[in-house]
Amino acid sequence: MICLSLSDTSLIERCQRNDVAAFNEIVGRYKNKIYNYVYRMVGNSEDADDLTQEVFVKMYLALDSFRNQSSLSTWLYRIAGNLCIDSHRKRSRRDTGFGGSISSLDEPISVDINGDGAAREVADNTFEPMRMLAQKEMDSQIQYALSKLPEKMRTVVILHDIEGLQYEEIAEVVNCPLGTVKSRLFNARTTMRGHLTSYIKG
Amino acid sequence: MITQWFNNRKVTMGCRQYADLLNEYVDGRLGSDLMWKTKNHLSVCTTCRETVEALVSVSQMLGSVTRREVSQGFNAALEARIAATPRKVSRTPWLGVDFSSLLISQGSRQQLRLVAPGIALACCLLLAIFVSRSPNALTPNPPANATVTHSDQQQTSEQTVIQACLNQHRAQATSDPLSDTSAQLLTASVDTIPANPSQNQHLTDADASVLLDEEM
Repeated sequence: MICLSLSDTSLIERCQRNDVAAFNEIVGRYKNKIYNYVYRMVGNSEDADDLTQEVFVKMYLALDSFRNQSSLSTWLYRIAGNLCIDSHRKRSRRDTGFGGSISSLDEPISVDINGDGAAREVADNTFEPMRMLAQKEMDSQIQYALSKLPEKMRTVVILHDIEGLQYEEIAEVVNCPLGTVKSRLFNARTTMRGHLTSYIKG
Repeated sequence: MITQWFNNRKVTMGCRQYADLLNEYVDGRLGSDLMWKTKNHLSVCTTCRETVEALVSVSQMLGSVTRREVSQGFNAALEARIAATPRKVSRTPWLGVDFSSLLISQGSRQQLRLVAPGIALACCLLLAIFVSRSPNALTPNPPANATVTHSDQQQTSEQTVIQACLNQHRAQATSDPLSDTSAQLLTASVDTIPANPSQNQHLTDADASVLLDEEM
């Protein structure tokens, strides 16, 4: 309860002193942000749930090494991004090894939407079936367009346009120059434009 | 990379200059001067205007996606995973209280890391001064069975004198040595010591007589 008003820095310091309440507060603050980012990166809720837990386990193990040189959110997004890339590589290797194709990133989002995701999406109290259906279709299409992007572009465009991070924060998360962030964002948007033509007016 | 997109389109030299600015224009990151110039360019350039529209529409679509949330069992699953993951805690709490963390905050710890080499150097200097002032400081104590060194030296010098006396006495002894009681006593005490002829050669007759007088 006391933790609610504390800054991220104070929470981290408390965590470093083995304060469980502070750790829970950090998880409460960031779990949905990280989950949303990871979900958009990997494209399915099971992997996203698992990877988001892994992010907080990694954070827990590396608490002593956190030096406040970057913000807590930047640190968590960086851990999450690295885990997504590792996960994708492992899955690609495994799929290639069995002669299969990379399926999960290209998989239509409808698989998830028909599952648990549908129940969670009904947060809007107004019952508008057509609008909800259109939203689901657009979400599926956006997820498909995202999955077609190279990982580096996908990371940048998700962090900026979905998570709302500034260019400078993204540069810190992905550890690259500001100019690289700008060019990746530009290319990601223009590439996605091609996949979303039917949904874009004009 | 950005200009690559323009390479497939009919653009002027002016468009290339604005290529890097369009994204920032869309995201509202340009200063008033650059914003005004970009707007002017967009009013006359269809290609750049279309590009901006594409960037805006994609950005708006991405911003409108449904935000996902973790599953209901997330916290319990995370708790179980953390419980199964041993963490290397550098500061072990004692009696439930982590005293080191109470005394040393995170900021202080960083400062301590900076001054640690200086402290180590000062300790080395103090140790060096201590050693130089007391040469025996670092000499290890002899073992219990080696404490006879001093008495051994004293005994050796005494026996050397006795040996010298004995040699002198033998040299001046009569044909019947058994009648000389002093020689018998001396012989009994130093029979086990090997003779040292080099020392005996330095003793003169006068010296020997003095020693014999003292024995009597």
